[in-house]
Amino acid sequence: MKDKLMTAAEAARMVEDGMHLGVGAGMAMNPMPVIREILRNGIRGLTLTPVLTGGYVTDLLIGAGAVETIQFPQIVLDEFGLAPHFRKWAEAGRLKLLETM
Amino acid sequence: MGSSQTESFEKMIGAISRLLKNGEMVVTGTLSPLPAAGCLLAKHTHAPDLEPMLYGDPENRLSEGLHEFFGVAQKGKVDVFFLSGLQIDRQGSINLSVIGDYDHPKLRLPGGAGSAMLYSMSRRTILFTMTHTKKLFVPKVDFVNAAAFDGETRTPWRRGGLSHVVTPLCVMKFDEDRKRVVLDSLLPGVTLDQVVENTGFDLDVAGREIPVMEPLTEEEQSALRGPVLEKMRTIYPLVCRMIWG
Repeated sequence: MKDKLMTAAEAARMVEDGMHLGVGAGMAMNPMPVIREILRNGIRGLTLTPVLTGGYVTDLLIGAGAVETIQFPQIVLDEFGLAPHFRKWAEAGRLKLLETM
Repeated sequence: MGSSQTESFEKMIGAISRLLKNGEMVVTGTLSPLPAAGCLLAKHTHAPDLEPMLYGDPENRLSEGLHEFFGVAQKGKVDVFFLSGLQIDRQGSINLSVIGDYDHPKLRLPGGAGSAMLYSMSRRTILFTMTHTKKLFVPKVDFVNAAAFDGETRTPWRRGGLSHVVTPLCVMKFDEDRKRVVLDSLLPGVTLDQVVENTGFDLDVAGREIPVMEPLTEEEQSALRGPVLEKMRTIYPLVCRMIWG
């Protein structure tokens, strides 16, 4: 079988500007090492689809300016409250929202 | 948090519990600690055959979490579901997305997260709120995430709609004939004026005798502070510490 193992940095290099990225979301089971590498690479213009609801990772990517369009049913940090970056960017009209009900 | 606030939450849990009927399949979603406690209390008192499915419950038999919740609801298997909103209006519509204009909102909220489907597919939905103010209970919501009923074009798959609204002050119910929310009962220690003053729409109280909810019985009180709280601490540890210490 083909060896699919790679480092987080190698995995993150598959993500390029303007891609449509899906991420496991909510407040648990987030691929944090890969997300950190994506942030370090300064990726821009992503369309992001958190599955199912957006949490920590979504808010981080938005706050870093990596996201242009966000497709979502809900973005919240659960018991910790509203997602601050999502709130700031959406209120400023700086995100394209594809909101599902 | 003071003991009066604890008592206020316990009254709401009691009110929710009493709205649930034995044998019902009842689901609570994210951030629904009081409904979850209400379900557990009902099961430990008058509704032993209640089937609660509580999101976040470590003993939950669902394998795929939230994803599977929606599947269960879409099959039409949910008798009772709980929703809330940052705005709730007289028609029972809820707003979970924006305060103000959609494109440049004063406050951007998390979003509806399937509430429209759940409001349609659950046999009845109970709304709950942690505060009761004119900002929350408005004549018309700024944005409709989910509606209590269908208009003239009733969709064939709609299974139910709004049943009751439980707040820290009162229980409201949905008047099916007039399609509007009306006052049903006051929580113990609350006056009618308090409710009217803090609600942004007419609750149809003129000329009506509004009953006061019976206080929690000893059986309810000991179930709540005993097995219900013990279980709740495994689902909502932070909230439980906040309410009960």
